[in-house]
Amino acid sequence: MDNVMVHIDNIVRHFPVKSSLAALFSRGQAYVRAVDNVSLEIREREILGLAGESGCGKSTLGRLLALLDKPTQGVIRLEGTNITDMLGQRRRLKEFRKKVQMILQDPYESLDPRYTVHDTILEPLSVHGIRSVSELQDRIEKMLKIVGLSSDDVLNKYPHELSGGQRQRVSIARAMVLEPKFVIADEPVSMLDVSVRAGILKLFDHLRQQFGVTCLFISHDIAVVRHLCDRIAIMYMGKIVEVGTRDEIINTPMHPYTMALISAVPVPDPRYKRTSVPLSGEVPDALRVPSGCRFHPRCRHAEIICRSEEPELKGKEGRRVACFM
Amino acid sequence: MTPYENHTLLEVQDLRMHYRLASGAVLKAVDGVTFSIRRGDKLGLIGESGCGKTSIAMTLMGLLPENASIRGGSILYEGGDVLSYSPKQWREFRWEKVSMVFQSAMNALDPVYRVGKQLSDVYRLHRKCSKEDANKHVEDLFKLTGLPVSRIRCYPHQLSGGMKQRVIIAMSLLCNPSLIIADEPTTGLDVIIQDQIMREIVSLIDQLGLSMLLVSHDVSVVTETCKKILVMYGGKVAEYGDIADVFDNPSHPYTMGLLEAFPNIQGPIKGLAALPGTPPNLAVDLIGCRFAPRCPRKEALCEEEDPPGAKLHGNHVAFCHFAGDPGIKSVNYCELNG
Amino acid sequence: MNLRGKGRLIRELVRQKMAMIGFFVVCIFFLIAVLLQSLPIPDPFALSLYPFHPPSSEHFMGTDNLGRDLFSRVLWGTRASLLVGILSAGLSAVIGIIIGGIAGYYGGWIDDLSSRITDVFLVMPIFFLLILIVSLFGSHIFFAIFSIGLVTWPRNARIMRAQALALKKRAYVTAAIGSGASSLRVLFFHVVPNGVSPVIAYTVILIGQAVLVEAGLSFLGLGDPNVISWGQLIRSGQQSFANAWWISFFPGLMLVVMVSAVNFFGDGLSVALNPRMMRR
Repeated sequence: MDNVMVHIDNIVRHFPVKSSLAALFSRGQAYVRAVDNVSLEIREREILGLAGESGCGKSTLGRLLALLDKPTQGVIRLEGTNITDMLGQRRRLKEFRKKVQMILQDPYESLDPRYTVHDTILEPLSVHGIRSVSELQDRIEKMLKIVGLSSDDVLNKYPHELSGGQRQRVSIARAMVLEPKFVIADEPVSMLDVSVRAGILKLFDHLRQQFGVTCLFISHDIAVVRHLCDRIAIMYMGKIVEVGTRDEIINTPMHPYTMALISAVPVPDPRYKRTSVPLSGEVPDALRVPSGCRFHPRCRHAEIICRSEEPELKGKEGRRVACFM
Repeated sequence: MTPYENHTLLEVQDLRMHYRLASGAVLKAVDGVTFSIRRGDKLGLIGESGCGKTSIAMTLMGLLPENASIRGGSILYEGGDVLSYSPKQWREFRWEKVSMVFQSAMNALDPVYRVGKQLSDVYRLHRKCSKEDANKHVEDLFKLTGLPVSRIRCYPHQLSGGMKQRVIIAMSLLCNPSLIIADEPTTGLDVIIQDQIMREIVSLIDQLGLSMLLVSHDVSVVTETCKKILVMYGGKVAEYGDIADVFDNPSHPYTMGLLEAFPNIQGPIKGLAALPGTPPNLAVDLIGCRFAPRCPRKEALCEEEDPPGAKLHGNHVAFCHFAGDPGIKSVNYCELNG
Repeated sequence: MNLRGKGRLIRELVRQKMAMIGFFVVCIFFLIAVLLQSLPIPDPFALSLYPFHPPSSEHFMGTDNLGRDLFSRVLWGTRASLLVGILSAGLSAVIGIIIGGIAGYYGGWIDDLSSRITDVFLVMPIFFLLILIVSLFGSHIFFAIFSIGLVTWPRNARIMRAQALALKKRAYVTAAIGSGASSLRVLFFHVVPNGVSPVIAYTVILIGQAVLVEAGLSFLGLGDPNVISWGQLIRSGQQSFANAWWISFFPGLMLVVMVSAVNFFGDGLSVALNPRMMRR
């Protein structure tokens, strides 16, 4: 029985809306409920895919888990320890940063253009007190090798001299050099050319095998998620609507949104006749969240109860759905 | 090389287009590309960033920037030589015969004007008619593209992403063109909307009897919507043919790699191809096959000579010295990198 | 840490002909100021028997009311101008970067407070403030440098603040925070180095302004009496301008040339540093 690495309990993140127009038409403060009462468990050594369309809150959730943002409510536990209140405590937060790292989406923006590859990977080490020149050199070179870069080649280069794939590998090296236990990857391959993506995905798998690191893989591309992840969680408008193993979600999705999402993915096979589940409308404005189940305005199976009550995420061990049907 | 059919709408022969860079170097963005589009064809132009596909789209529309120049080849539209068009002829060609669905609504729609006005203004630029007639035409187009007529007086920021893209589609249909060039029309859109929009585009194309050139980096989208495919690499054509032929029998190592790199959500889970290396620098003079530096099957010949087109089944052509060679089938990218 | 695209920057700069001319002129002035003692020019303090002598082959710019060689005195004036110009602009830049960077990056009450202070200084007439300070506290040259620096930092702070506000959202800043870097480290090792270009461009122009301010102060008699400066020279020739125009003319000319050169260079620099040039 795998241990649970990260417990996410009823996490909420609201963003107050500053527009005066919104305040005029609603009583009191208007909020964007980016992450609304999310509970999830991430198991040790697994790669959990967090999928959903833009605006569903997956990136916000990622940032909350990395303590780059403070939740409005709720508790996050890492290996049993409550980390939610660490944001104010500098020393504990610094220790935490050794254990949890984040890899960002944009390979062009994630690296300081004035730092060489060496300096970029050096920074986390030196921030955490490693001073010995030989140890630093050793760890940096070792890490570059693990991510598939030759240190002779790239060590003294600047980001603008590297390709997108190489930059992303440097980002990964920077994140892994402290040997964290939990890594959150926010759309790490979305901005890369297709021919380069597989290399990065393989790298994640390789890292899991070599370091035993747990990974939350956030992506809007379900096909990619399917290829890499053990389990998948689907988010819609700030809520998790379904969780399950990869095969369960892809082959036997239960939530109408999941079904629509999977059926909408184009298939690179000219003979495959794909029928997509028709969905009406588009994702509603974040300020006008539908009552009851958030998906009901677009759902074919919506009934009266869906309009009035929010379904809870429930089910058996690891396999849960938030739907009344 | 490409069969000259009776109903050929567009014929591009050995097109060469270069950009002059600030440093003085010349970037050979399009380096000898040949293809044709017949009436009713849907051709997918596929390749990764820097392969030249967007440059070709811009050349066909005459929307090249100052530092671009056409260095050779020809573009024939219904027999007429497009490259020698006078400005007057260009005005009658662009948007009337060939129009474009742009990649990002942000680039194509002016945020300070209502969308209906933008469409009717473009229409009245091309056709002399009254405001009422133009507005009626815009209304018809809205209905055709599935947009609520009530949105005609909206500003772009009041529309959702999918609606904005439909406005762009409507704009491309304003003057009843015969060929629509869709340049990555669904980039940035969510997968569900992308599915809807692509279906709508294909249905409009079929309904109105138009032809389409779909420029994309997404093999899945192209495979589903197009009947013919042109794979580009380094400014040159790597492979061309009917989609079924190319898919069943990819004969260029790059095509093989590309097809293997796209995860198929319905197929069995297998290793994805990771192509080693990076796309070539087109500002430098290159000899031989553009793909050679990254090709697992390269030999000395590949670095010396440009590969000629090897004719395979039907109109399937691959530009590889070893195309059709049974040995080439053993290219397997998945085992290449650890 | 290195300037990304340094080669491109230099190429852009060279393209601005006026900027390069300005740069060379300033370099010449700089060399003069540094090598003053070794130059084969007469002693600027040496009195002679020929006061009010017009320009001649012996005295290129003539002599002043005490017979001192004007050419030599004008060259000595370079030192004071450059000293005040560069040091006060530098001081202004350092203070501006620190305060503006902290305000933009941390926000909150720090930002509010420093913005209010900045606003106050931006509406004040600087020159009159300096006259006040100098007449109250003294006219030693280093005092002038400090005053000018302390009074002109707000504009630099505003530039740096705007840059910090924009840059703190960059992914590499988030990544540095994620690595565990303290916010001060992130500010001074990531945000400031990447945002400092417009501050540099403005500071160069500030050098020219400081030179003018110094000249103005010494023209009014508020400058350091022990230091030869162009403003002082212009003042000394004021009374006799009708008869001995050269005493005021040449220092005035030097002033115009120096400040113009600095401004041309500063303009060219800000065009070359334009972020559009530095992208990918």
